Amino acid sequence: MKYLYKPWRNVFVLILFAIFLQACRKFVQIPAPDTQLVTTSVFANNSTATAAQTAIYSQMIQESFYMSQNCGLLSDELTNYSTAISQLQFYTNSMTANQNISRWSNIYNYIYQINAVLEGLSNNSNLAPNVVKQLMGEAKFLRAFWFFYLTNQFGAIPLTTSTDYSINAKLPRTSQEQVYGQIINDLKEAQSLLNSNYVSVNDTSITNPMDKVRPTKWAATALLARAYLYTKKYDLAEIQATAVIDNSQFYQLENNLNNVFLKNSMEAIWQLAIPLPSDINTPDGEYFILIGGPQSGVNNSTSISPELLNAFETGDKRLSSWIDSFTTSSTPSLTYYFPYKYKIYQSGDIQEYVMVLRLAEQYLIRAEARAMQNNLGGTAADLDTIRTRAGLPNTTASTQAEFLNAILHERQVELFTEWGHRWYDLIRTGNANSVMSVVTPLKGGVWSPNWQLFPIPQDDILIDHNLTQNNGY
Amino acid sequence: MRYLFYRPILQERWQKVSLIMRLTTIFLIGFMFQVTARSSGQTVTLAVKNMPLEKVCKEIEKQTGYYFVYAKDMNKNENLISIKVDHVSIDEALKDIFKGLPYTFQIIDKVVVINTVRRISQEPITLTKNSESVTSVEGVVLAESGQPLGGASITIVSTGKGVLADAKGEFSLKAVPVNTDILVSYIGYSPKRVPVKGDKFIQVRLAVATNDLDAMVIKGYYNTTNRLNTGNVTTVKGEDIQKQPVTDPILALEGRVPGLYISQTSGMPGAYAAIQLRGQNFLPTDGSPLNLNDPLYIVDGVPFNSSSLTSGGIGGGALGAPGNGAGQGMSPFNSLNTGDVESIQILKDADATAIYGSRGANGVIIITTRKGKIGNTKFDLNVYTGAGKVTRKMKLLNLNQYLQMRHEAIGNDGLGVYYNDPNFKDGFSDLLIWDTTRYTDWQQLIINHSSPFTNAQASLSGGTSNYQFLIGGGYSTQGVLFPGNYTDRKASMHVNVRNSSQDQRLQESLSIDYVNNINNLPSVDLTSTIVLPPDAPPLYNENGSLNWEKYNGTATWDNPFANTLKKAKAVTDNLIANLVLNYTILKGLQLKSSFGYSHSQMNQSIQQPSVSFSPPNDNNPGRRVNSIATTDRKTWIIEPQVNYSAKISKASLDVLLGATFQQNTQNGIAEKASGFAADVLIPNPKAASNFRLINNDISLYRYNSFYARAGYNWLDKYLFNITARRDGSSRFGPGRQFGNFWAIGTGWIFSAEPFIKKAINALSFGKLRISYGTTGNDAIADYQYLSTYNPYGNSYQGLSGLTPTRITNPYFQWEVVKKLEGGLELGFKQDRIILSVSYYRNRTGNQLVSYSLPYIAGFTSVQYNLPANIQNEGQEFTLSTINVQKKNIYWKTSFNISFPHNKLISFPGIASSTYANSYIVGKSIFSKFVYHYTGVDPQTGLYSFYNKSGDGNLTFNDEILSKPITQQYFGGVQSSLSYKEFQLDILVQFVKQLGYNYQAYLPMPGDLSNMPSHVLARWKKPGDKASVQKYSQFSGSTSRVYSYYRLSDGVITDASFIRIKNISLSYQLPNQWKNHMHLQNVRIYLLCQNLFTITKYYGLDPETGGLNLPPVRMMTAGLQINL
Repeated sequence: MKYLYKPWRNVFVLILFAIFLQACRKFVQIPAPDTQLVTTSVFANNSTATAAQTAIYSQMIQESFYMSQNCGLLSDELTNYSTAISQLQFYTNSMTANQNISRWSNIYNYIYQINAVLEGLSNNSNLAPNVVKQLMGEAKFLRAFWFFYLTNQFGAIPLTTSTDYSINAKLPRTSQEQVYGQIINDLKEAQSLLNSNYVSVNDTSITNPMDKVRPTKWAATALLARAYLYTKKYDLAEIQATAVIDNSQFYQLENNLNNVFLKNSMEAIWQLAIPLPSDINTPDGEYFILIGGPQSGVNNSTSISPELLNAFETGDKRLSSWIDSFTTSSTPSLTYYFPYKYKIYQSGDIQEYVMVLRLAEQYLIRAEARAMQNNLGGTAADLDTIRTRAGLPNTTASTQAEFLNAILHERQVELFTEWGHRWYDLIRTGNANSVMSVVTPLKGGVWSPNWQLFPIPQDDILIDHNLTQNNGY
Repeated sequence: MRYLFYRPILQERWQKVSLIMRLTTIFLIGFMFQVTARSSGQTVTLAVKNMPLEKVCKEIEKQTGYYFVYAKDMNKNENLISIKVDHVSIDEALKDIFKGLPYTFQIIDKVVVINTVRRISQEPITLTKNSESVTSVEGVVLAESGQPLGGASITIVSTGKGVLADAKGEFSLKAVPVNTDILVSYIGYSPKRVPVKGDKFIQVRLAVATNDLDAMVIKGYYNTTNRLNTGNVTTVKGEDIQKQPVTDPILALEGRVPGLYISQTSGMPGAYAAIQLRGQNFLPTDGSPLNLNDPLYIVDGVPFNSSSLTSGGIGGGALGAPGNGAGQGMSPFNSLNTGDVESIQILKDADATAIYGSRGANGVIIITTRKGKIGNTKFDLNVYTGAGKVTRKMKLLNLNQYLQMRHEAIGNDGLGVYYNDPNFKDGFSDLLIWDTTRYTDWQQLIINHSSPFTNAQASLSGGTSNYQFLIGGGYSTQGVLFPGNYTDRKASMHVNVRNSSQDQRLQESLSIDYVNNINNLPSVDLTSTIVLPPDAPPLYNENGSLNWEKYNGTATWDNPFANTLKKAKAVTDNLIANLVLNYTILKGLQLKSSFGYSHSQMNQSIQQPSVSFSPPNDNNPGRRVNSIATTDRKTWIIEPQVNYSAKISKASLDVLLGATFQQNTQNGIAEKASGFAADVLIPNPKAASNFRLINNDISLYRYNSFYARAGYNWLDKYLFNITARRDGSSRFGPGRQFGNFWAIGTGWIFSAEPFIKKAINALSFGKLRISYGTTGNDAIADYQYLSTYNPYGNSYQGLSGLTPTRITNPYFQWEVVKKLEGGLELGFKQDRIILSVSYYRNRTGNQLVSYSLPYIAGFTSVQYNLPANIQNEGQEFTLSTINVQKKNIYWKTSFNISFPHNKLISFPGIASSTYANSYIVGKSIFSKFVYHYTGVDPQTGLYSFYNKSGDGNLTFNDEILSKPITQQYFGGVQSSLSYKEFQLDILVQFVKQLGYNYQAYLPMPGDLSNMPSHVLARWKKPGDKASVQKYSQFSGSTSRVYSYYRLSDGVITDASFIRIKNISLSYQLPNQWKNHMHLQNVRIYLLCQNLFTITKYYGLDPETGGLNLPPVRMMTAGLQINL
């Protein structure tokens, strides 16, 4: 040893070896790919943080048509011509837990994205305070929006309020009452956070011309009015609906029914714009409008049901403006009626947006809330506002029960094939069993009160064993 | 430490070991030690490392004043001396120095005379007291071709001692007793025993091993023979692969390798083959990347990515898209040329795979291409051509049976009201609109065509002992069974050049493989349309346009041939280049470095004209789409190594130290152009009004490792092999990138023990081997530990959106497989019968899986280390026999069978995990929770199931665990018979397995779809005992029950089969004809793949399952000419 080595050489070798190992450690440390953005940097910039929120609107626009068609098939709004099992299951009220899971999975994915935005915004000093405030308000509003639809379809649902998969994967269902508690809390916070003007993508100033594609304080107020109505807090529902109705600077009923569903119509409280580029204006227009006989697939496979057609009073302008028909050239010729609220089948020239919240519903919410509080005069006024626009005479209802029936009917013909209103109305007003026990057999199914709730997807019950199934599935 | 080993032999050994260590340090770090020596009167004090002899002598001259005289013919600097002595006499010092050198010395006064041994040996000097019986021998070891075999082992049989040949194949042995034999061996050559008989110079020529036991086994960075292998490696020779008319070399392995189960996903050329080498090591989940269970593939030293290049963004037409159902995209192996394959080695146990450490968890498959050989320049041409046909067809309902089924279903469902209502006429188009007297046998029409197949290979090869080359080219084209002009064409080029310096110390070998593959297949697998109603409309109108059988202006059916108007094309270029430099520094010590580079690129396009869509949208620019994708993959790898081998007394030692640096980059772009004004404009995306980037994926993978291996062989009797590695992978988060892996293999060739030899006379070979070790797995997607957002691709309010990429878990680590293997290999009758038995037990813990999450978590999976421990255990048997070995007849048979068993042995916390309702500890992971089918209810005519509560509502509490849906055993029988100029090879594959029957893939009997004819056994009226539910088109209850049936064990059936996989018959022209034509060799042959299948499975094929194109029966005839 003493001849071969000198201590400094050992040290030198060791240092070289250490440098070499360090270099190898570096070698396997790689940068993030250029095509993706690391989450922390997404929330370090106003534009990218906004993009993380607005991307959810881009994705959820497809839900409008499916929610409308599914609930339309389930209830008495649509006639089915599809041979797809998924559509037949809706139509004959015979859903199974292994079909039609996309709404459930999509919605929970949106909620994940919403929670990710909320987590990215919390304690964030890199973003402009007004951006943080607006985005946080939008996220809370949107979370309430989706929990509302989930609980109305599935009843008690798992309440996911963080992105932590170790918690979410084991969540049990939360009672509908607690879910509404969460919805109302989120909406109240959203009301205080959201701008009362429609905001543009760059800053929080008002858009000019007014572009109603991002939620505002008024969207939160309108949805809060609906949440209070559904939870039977009628006084509160009336207050919130009134706040929206009174904002006549932003919202007025369109006198011409053909203008209601145009983009940024005076009636719109919140709309979704189709993400660009696009060949279509709205999925609703593309998939409801029949330019031939109904198809056997999922899209363009339904027509307006006889029940709905017959529900229109004579002279109702909504029948002529919002419903159109296609007649075959065969003998005998057949006529199919289809929803025509959205009038553009396919076009890259964007004239229509998907309506999410509109003023007419607020009038009907207030009418119902007033009727429930026995303010029948106020009820009549609101109801007649809607009837007048449709070219109909004032309501003939005089008792509370008659008013409630009149409101249910008015909702049927005003809000048909919009996000499933009819289905939820039948259930929440307790009319589902009486109506569906007649309609379901006509559609080839057998009605059971259990079919009011959707089945929880079997996949999730298998994975999250804290989840339970709804009765009957 | 060193002073403890003062006894000369031990010291010598230590010096050699220590030398390796030092030299390693030198090469790795580039640091040279220097010599220190001090003068001290008449005694000598030396401490030198690798100093040339002359320099050492100069040093002694300096210290002692002695003077050296050299023989004329000696090279004074050739021998490097390493010695350490302290104050010893010059005589002692010189003895030490010349020990092992081919020189002797004499001290005459103050002069030291140095002579070469050869000269001295003319007048033998006294080395021991028995001078008469001892001699020294020099010689050279050459291959039959004349190539020197550097590193060959020369052992004196009587003493067991030996030496290794130097780079030129030269050796010298001292103290060889006269009248003994020396045994000369070299990996891959038959060992040879040579009598010494007092010869002074011996030339030994070794022949390439014909015996399986002595054939070369490539174990990654080093080679061995089956005889001396401590691990489990199966070799499939190129010639066996080339006997099979397939385009994917992996498919040629089916049935040949014990423990390797390959199932074709489709009979389409280029389709993916699913591979399981010794079972499945991880719990499958929906999101799991499919290649997590793939072995590591190495092609000519370069890791080959087994995941498909097909773009997930646009899919691969009929071949599917990666991670999406049956297709999985195009197999990357389709861009290798089977004709260039020299051999494929399948490494299975820890001992064999540990050298690949981290990536060897699922085994390693090494593909080696052909190399040039010494000899005259040779031209070889091999062409075969033929056609494929569908192997099996399904028995389907005929027209009347079909119509009856439909009417019966409508009756059962009470749909008469609707049937008679003109409003619903198009809901019963097959009965009310279509011509119910028309009958089309769709199976005949769609899959009964023949697919032409032609393969041509040509090569030029030859060389001298210093230089060998091979240049090859190939072309193949294969069609599809569908009507239409679809082809998979492949053009390839292969070059291998090897060169060595005159003294053979520097060797270079360069291989380049290039393949261009044009895959022009239909955009969907039309096989699924064989169940079209027999009265479905004709495909075309009289004017040749697609017939949509319109009713009220809308199509009444999806014309399947609309898809044939969509043009799918994938062009793949694949380049693999590898350069190996090898430098012998000293005898037995080599410095080697391998440089590999591969580049694969696939360009795809799928063009959809608007007429391929159902009217009335047939003139819509938005429906004219051209989807384009490019996927580009590059890999480079550098692997420096130091290799030391030596004979130490009766043992041989091999030590390998090395490092790997590897980088893979992948770039994928998919675009969609739409809005063409006319169909003719579609090929040029510039004419599109709408152009979208569907995805743009970049990934980078880096891998780095250090490894060491030591092999110790005592008298070819006791074998030890130790490997250890430290690996780093960029697929893991900071601080978790590195993992350590090791393995030990031991072998005992007990047939070499005299007492065994005596006891069992017939035993010609017997080896017992045991290995144990750990290997790892990082076969997951890149960047999984990073929390990122991806652009959404569309803009909202003018702002392009961002969406989260995944749920992130930054903490996952290497998956570890612990492998235990025991093997027994026996040879009888001079190794004419070889039996080998292996038992293996692989346990995979810390599983790197996509952990299933419920939808409510936002994403359906997260990358996770699952604490579950899966055991794959099994037995493999191979029996090879040479049945007849005569002058004109040679008949060899080989049988292999494997029994895999899978078990989830532990899973702490399974009850609270998302796997709680999917797996049971102690059971196979291939078992599924299913409803238990209890037959057709004679009263209702509906399928019935076991229902615990009896309330008729099935929940998962009613589910039972099925039998494992996998192989119970599988194997193959190969037989090779040659008689004079004829040769016949047969390969039979057999598989015993459970699978899903056709009901799992088809709609409900009664629906608007044809059915296998077994549905005729349906329930008709109350009281019927039937095996099939009543016909029904749809109603709540029957479809609900049918969906339960598809989730029950009623659809799990025996899918076993025996397949005549391959037959090859060849005839070699007799010699006098060949001589007459001045040809070296002429051979004509017939090849047949998938000749026929014996199975009880009803449906198309038990291997592909589903409604995919079954494997093709290929019959070809060929001609091979050598000039």
